[in-house]
Amino acid sequence: MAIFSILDSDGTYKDTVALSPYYIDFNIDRIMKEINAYWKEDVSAMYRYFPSDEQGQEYRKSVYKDICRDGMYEILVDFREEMKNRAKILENKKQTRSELQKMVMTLSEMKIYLNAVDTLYKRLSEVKLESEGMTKLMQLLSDYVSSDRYKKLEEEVSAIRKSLDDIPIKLRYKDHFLYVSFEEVEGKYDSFLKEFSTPDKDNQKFLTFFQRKNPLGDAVEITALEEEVITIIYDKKPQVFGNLTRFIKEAGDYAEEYILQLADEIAFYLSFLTFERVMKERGLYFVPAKKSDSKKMVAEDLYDLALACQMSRDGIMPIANDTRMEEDENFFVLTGPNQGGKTTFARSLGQLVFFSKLGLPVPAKRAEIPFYARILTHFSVEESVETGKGKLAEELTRLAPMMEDSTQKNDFVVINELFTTAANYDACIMGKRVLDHFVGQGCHGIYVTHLQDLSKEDPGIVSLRAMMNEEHRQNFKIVRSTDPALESSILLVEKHRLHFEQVKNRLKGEEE
Amino acid sequence: MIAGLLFADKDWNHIKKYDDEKTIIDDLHLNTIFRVSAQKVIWKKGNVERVTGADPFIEQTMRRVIMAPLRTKEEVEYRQAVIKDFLKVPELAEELYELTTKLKDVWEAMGRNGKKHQEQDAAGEMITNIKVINMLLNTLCTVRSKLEEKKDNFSSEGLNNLIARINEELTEDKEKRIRKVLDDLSFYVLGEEREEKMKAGRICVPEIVLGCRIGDALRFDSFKLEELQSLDKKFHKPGGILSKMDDYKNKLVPDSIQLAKNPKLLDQGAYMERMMVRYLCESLNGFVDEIGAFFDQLQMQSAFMTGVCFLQDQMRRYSMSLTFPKVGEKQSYKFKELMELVMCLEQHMVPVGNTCEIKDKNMLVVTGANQGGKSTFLRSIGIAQILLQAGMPVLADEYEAPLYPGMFTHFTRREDSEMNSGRLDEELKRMSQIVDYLRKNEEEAPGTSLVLLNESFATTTEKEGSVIAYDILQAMTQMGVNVATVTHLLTFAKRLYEEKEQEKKDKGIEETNVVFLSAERLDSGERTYRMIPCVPQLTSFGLDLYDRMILGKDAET
Repeated sequence: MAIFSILDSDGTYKDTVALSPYYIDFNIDRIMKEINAYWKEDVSAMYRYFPSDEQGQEYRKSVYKDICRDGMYEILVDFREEMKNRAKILENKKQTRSELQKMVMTLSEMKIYLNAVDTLYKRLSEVKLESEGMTKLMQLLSDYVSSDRYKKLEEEVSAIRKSLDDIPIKLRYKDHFLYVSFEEVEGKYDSFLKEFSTPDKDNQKFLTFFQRKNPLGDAVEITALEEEVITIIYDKKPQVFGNLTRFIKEAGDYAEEYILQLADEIAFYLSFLTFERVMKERGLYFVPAKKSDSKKMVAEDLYDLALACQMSRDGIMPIANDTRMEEDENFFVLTGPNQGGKTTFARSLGQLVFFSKLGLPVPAKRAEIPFYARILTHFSVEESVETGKGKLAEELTRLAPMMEDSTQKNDFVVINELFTTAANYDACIMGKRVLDHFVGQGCHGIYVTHLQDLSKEDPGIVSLRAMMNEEHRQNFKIVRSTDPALESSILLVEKHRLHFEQVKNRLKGEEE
Repeated sequence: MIAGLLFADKDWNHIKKYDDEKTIIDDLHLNTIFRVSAQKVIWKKGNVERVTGADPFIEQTMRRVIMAPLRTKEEVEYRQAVIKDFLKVPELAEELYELTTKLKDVWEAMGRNGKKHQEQDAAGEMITNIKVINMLLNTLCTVRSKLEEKKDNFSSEGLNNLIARINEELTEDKEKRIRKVLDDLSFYVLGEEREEKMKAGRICVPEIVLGCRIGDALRFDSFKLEELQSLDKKFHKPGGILSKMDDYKNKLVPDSIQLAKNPKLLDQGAYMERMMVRYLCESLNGFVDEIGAFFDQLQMQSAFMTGVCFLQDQMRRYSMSLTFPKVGEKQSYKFKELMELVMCLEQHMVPVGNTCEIKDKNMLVVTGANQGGKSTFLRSIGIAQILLQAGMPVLADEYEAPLYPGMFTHFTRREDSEMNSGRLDEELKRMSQIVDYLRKNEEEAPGTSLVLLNESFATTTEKEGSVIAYDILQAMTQMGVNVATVTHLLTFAKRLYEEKEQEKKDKGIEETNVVFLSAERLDSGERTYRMIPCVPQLTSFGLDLYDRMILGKDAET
């Protein structure tokens, strides 16, 4: 185990966690797609591993806060890029059989590593860091860069590299002979050709031909011709290669494991920050979730991030909702018209808990969330042709394991439309039992249903309704409501498509 | 470098077309002009020997250029001046067009625009590049000398500047440098050319001097090219005694590597040669792109000039000649013997000419009997206007009109003539589309729109059609749009006429914004096909009489 992890206070980070059903249910897969797209790398696996406790969550939140500081993002992205370049050399090493070449590559690899560590340390020293994770990292880096081991490595690498750089090679090619000598050339013909280049193409970004193309070939492995030339150099300057060989042998495993791990793990925070910045530019917002000491859960202007990713592309802002669960409350029961935003709201709650469990900011303006051990979901699915089971049987099959072992008493449960194929009477009884079970277990959660009766009786149950606006159109607002009777008549009218707007649209022929 | 024959400051690149291009072409039968301009008349002793088929590129270019209106008097005069110069030496336009077309064809056959020859490999591609550079350079020199030759005929800014620009682009020094690169590349020949040279006992070999460093991965990098040249020398057969003596000598040089000892080394040597060729060719990419684009423009622009010259030449068949129009004052028109060009070209006849001078009018209403030449008259204005706006000469003794880049046509269509609500719907839809365009155009450049209506709204009753026409045209003119309409809707014409007469009386003025024209009829009843200002007449004579008598009666009581 590494001595340090930026993802976990006790360094126990492991990245193999199975995909949970809620990934699909909450449309987290769609959010991940966006995150991966903006980060240009698949980081999904990192978003499947949660800190084991509240302390772990707080550890990450404070690290993230540090990473959001001015300049931090660039510092860490640069560090990661460098370390990726180093990894590329490791890959390239596998493509050559020449031992000498492998050694020179190792030298470059070390150079990049040293430079990355050095730059990271220097640049981080200029930032005021407060989190436990970052402070610990700085302590480790500080000790490391001032150690003799580090300094010696740095000195030797640059000395040996310099001895290689100091060999000018001049090649004259004529009559199928190559004449090698060791002297500087000016590049006279380059200068002659340069006069043809058009001024606008001549800026810094424009790579010269030789920067793009190696006239001796593009292979990673050293070519036969270069080997011949190297042999001549070897005869002339044996000590250069002797020093190289000795040094590489002695250096061995020179890299610190926690630094290599840091380069990987930091992508978790950076990928989210990249995503967050893009979304903020589009007018969306995020907030770090506050730890809730009681069992109270609060979210203001909470929205469905997956939906918002899509909509904000066209400049449309998602519907936001405030939600609040007091200390003595356990479960939301959400009812309301079809297409009224019920599932969207359930998803946004799920996403809220998901991101807060990861220790990342949540899609809301203010949030206070207690620690939940697990997230459990049950969303209704289309009847499965493969299993051949009826829908009810299929639902119960998925429900059973959820209700088995909620021993931790602090899970977050999202249920979306259970038992829709069962008779109303049966469905009510079964629904009530499910609800009682989770409430009895001390779980928090939301139950989206078309069954009006479920929300009655229990004081721990909060009844929510998807609302309609003055024109009786769905406005996707979710509010607390204890008297659904008031709206049931509206629902009836709506069911028969006889609202003002509906009738108007029907007459206009605009309705589908 | 721009060719600059069509515009002073730019080449042909996304030039805005008439909004309703296709309709205008159909209504005015402009395709005839495009086609005839692309046909060359072969003369023999003053008689037409034959007429060539239409050159598709010229035909297409005529359409592109003619259908993109010029927007200022300066632009028109600039282009007119260039055309006038070419008309003085019409063979020059054709020569430039042929030169540039040949270049383009050869280049495309060699694989320009990625249309690579099937069996062409990377090596062949570079040979192509070298050939292209050669070809561009030589063509540019030829174009320059052709222009210089005719220089004395040029009085236009366009042609004089073109010569100046070519001289500036291809200085003596630059030409020398490019030729040196080509010379240094001369070792790079393949196939037959190479064999031929070897038969003659000679061979061209490269000498390359490179500087480099040991790179980060031991592979060499930081290359610099110090020397490169082609050496023309005696060919010694490989394995022969002379060749062996050469090798022996070379081996004695310290730190030399004989590439022939290992096929891999030989391959690398050849690779390096190719990379050098590529490097040199790429260095000239800027030149190739620049001159390539220039020739594309020159081809297109000289195609247009050729088309105009051809068209003028076509007129000789009818012993007529096109003359250059003038850009005139706002809402004023002056024309002398204006003829319908398309009719002339299609029917090989000399059409009737019209002479007219109109001042400060934004609505022109043409009425009169069928077969009186009304539509022909309207089309002759439309065509002349389009040609004026393309900088081209027109078929008239004189033509002067303002510029209307926002020109539209709304002509009745044969299929419209039946009364049918679906057809009216279609007509109104077209009109509504025009209104959309007009709004846009007037927003950008107020007062530069002109709508030509020919027998519009014929798909409903006379009464309804009149109301529709009245509303639409009144609204348009009041919003500053210029309108010329040929109409059989006499209720409309009469109503408008009466209102305008009233306006004169009320305001005590002599002229209004509307002018009424009719086909002239001699007292004998004979038609002259000429348009003269007159009071709109009702063709339905009985009804006219009835109306007048009743109205007269009413007036008396």
